[in-house]
Amino acid sequence: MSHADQHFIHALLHNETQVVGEIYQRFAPKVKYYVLQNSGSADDAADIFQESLVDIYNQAKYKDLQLTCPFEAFLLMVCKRKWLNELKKRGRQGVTKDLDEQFNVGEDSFRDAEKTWADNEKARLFKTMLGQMGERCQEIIRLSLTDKPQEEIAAKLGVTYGYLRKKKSECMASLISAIKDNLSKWGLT
Amino acid sequence: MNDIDYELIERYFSDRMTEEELMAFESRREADPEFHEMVATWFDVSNTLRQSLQADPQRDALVQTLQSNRPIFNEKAKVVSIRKLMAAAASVAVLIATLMYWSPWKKDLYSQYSIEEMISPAERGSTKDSLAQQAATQFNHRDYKEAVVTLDKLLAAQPGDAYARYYRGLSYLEDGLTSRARADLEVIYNGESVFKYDGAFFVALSYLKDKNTVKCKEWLLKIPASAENYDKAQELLGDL
Repeated sequence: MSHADQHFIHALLHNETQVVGEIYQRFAPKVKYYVLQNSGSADDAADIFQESLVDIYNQAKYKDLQLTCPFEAFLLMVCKRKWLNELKKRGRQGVTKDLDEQFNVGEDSFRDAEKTWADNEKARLFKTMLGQMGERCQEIIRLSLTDKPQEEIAAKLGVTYGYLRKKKSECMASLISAIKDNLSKWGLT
Repeated sequence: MNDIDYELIERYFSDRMTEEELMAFESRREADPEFHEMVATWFDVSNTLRQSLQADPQRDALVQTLQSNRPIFNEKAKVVSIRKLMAAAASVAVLIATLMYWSPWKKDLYSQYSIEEMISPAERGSTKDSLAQQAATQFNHRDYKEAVVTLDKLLAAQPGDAYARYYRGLSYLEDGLTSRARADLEVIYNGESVFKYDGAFFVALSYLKDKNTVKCKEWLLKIPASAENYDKAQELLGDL
């Protein structure tokens, strides 16, 4: 049995504009209030809100997220987690004022929200680190992640397959090391 | 961990290992925690990147929708007492009643419903597009005579170009050449382009300009409820 609020997630997956509008009408004010209370701006709140909805979309589409609590509670948890981390990245102190209402949220829901945030933050970190690599490495890694045969990729890059393999493993190793260096800065440990 | 280890992991994930190499790899993975962790991270990084770099048109569409809702965050919270609200509503009602009676906007229906901007061509590069670009600039600067000259060139090259014909019709209309306008716009209405029912609407407006209300209504009624400009057509019908 899926949670009654699963329809909000369905709406995100299928871009149901009316329901998405309802999500903004109903839940945006709380997130705005929360961010404004904790040294953020209305623009910050809009960013956090939008990113959280995309994160929930990703989690539902690629990781089969199923709600176990009201959508509002879940969305607020993801937004809060994201804002907390943003403050940390900006070198500010953490959240001091919380929202008044307490949802009775089980441990499962809390863990799902945390995972929704973390999985997506991780993907953002990986992408950012990839973007900071040299152009050649980026090209090699991006091409390797497609389903094209390695030989075809080597031909496209004008190198031998042996060279591609060697270069690709070097690039991956330095990408992984850059990621590890930044995990804690991004709040992912 | 060294370069040889990395290449080994790369080969493992590319399915390039012999049976023996694979067995050696697996047993090392079991025995060496550092190696084990590196393999797991390697998998996670490639897998996560593959997923997030993949195009997702559905997600792009959702982001568009989210963006369009963004202004909600910049609205000021309104706190108005009910009594003030009632007073405001009452004075607005009086204003509306006065305006309904006086109807200053009824003076010239034509100018109320006239032309939108000419959309600039989406693709770029060819001579045809630079002509269309030129026509759009002239049209949007209300140089309708010049726009007609440019659109003539486009239509000489491609008589089937509904875009050029539609805007030539509108240019004639704005220039007061209603029968020429109708000649173009009726072709549009009889075709199947995206401008079809806009064509019908502006034929109706051309009759309005000629003060032929009967014909105007007749053309407005050609616009079906499924058309984008149906509401506009109904509104004008109501005004007539």
